[in-house]
Amino acid sequence: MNTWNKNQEKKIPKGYFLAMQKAILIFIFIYLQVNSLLFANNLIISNANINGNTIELEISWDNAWNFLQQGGSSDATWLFVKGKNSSGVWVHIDLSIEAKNYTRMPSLTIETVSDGKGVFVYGQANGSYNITTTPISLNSTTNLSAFTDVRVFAIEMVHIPQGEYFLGDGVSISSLGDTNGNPFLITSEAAINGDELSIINTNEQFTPETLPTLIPDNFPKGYKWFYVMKYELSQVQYVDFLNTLSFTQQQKRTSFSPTSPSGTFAMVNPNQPDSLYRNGIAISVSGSVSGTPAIYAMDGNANGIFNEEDDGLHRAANFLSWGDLSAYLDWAALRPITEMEYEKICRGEYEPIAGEFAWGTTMVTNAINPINDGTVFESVSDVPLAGSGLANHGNVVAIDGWGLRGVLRNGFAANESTNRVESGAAFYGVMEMSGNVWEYTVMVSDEGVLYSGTCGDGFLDDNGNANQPYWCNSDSAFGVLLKGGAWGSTISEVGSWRDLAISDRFYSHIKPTMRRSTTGGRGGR
Amino acid sequence: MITLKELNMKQHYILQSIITATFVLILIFVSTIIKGQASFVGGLGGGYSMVEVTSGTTGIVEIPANSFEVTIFPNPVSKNQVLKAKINGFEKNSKIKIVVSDMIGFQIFIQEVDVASEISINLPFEKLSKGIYLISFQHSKNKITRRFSYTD
Repeated sequence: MNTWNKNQEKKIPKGYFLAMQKAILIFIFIYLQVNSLLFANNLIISNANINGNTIELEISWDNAWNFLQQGGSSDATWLFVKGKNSSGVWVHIDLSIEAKNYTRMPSLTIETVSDGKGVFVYGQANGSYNITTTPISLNSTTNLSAFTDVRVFAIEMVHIPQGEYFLGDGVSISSLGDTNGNPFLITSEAAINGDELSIINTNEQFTPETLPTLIPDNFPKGYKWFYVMKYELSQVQYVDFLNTLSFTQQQKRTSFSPTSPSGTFAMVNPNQPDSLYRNGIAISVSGSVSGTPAIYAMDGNANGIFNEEDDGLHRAANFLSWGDLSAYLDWAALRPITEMEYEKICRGEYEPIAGEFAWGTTMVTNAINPINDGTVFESVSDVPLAGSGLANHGNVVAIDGWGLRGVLRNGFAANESTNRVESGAAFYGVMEMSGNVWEYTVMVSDEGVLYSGTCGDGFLDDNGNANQPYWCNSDSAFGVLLKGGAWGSTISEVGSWRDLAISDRFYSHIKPTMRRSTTGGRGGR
Repeated sequence: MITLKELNMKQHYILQSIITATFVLILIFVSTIIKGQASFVGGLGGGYSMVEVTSGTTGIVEIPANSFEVTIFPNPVSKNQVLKAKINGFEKNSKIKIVVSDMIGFQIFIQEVDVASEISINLPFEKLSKGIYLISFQHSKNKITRRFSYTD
């Protein structure tokens, strides 16, 4: 062991500080090398070719992780395929459920699903690293020569591991808990009697939705492992979805007729067409009354030129109704998540903290000053205070007047050195579970618990609605609960008005049927 | 074997600094793994991508059965040669639309001709430079794309 005294300090050689500088530079170099591996997400699929029934393509994304060996999470990419048949109709293309039918490099694992609606791809190695450009092939069960156009879609997901967690935080408005008013420990997917639960700190302004007599064993409770989208549904994702729908389906899934002029913002309130709230989904080429679908594109900077670098492609999609989100999820062969799964994603293995947000603390810094606006680098100049998560919430700022009034890019708060709190991430690395847009979940209620976690099949009904059995009705939205708050949410003290809190259920009385400037969501599988 | 006593002070401080830096690095790395067993960094895009496997990117997307077929020759084609296309499975007394574009989709040449079993295409050589091009033939509701190379 070294001991220090003044005599030793006097003996420091002249080159000491130079040597220290070199050592520090070496340290910084090594640190940056390690962290550069973790710099960004940047999911890209490219160079796709059809070879018989096989689609060959390349995939890459940064900042992947795989901690499954430690019982933790991993990220993954959900890949699915659509084809336009000779009648001009887009259909879902099923993939082989036999893993042996896929070719891939050893660095990747391809996980097939039993219904053949797509595949998950994730890094094989344990740890955090970049997935460099890697060739993979997708094996279709359909003759691909029957299609005039084929598109492959990739969505970054997070594997939420199986395990116990606490439901409720004991104080949030209308939150769930045990009959003593404490958080309820979920230990399995077994059925739960309604009389084992209670509603805590009941909303005094609006009567909350009553609890069901039974939560059946097939209602997804978040104990068993599942996948969830890492980010909220983005605007470009919704554009790509619209561009595979029929004229009638487009009419249902947007706010304006597909025949509207080029440049019409398609999702906003028709009574307030100029109030975009940073939504740039627009009609690029008008459809026709004869039934030709419109072509949609992004115009986030509202200059009439589509799909520019600063058109906000990756901003969260707002102005989504429950019908819109559930249709997207059915089309993408995903499924809605339940409010119980929402709390598992956020809280993970930790014990509840009263009034906590998705990043596990009770403090939040508002993100209201965008930089690199509309680009893939969109972020904010706001710096989170110690112990605070950075989240887009609160449209009215007492000192500065109106705030951002709209959505930000998915993952805007994460940079090359952020930790969970600073990036506003949930326990398993899922982003923006608090703030940006309200997220639709399936509620623990009489209508909600009919849901059994059935996944979408890639097809909508002719009207453009999700048509999976026991999904909450597209138009009535019975059994749907909004969670997590949005860019328009103000935050009061713990136990009071606190939209972003994980366990808050203030709006359980609402049937969220409308396209609001603050509503969006994500799905799982 | 070298002991610490045999090192001069400068070497001692360098070694000490490196050991400290390495220790801090290991601590950061371990703490990254421990906290939540996930990664919380990021910075670009939004976790989504889509790729279109159209004729423009594949070079070839086959048309439905019972439709027409096209063969082009010569390929490669050089300056002042006439590119020809043999076409099977067409409807008589109909038109066929021919579009030549570069690999990024910029249209160089568009022509609509009466369909025949063999068509001569007078390429605009003044607009071409050495490279790969796409030529599509649209007949009725069907479109087929072929790739050809041009040499000066």
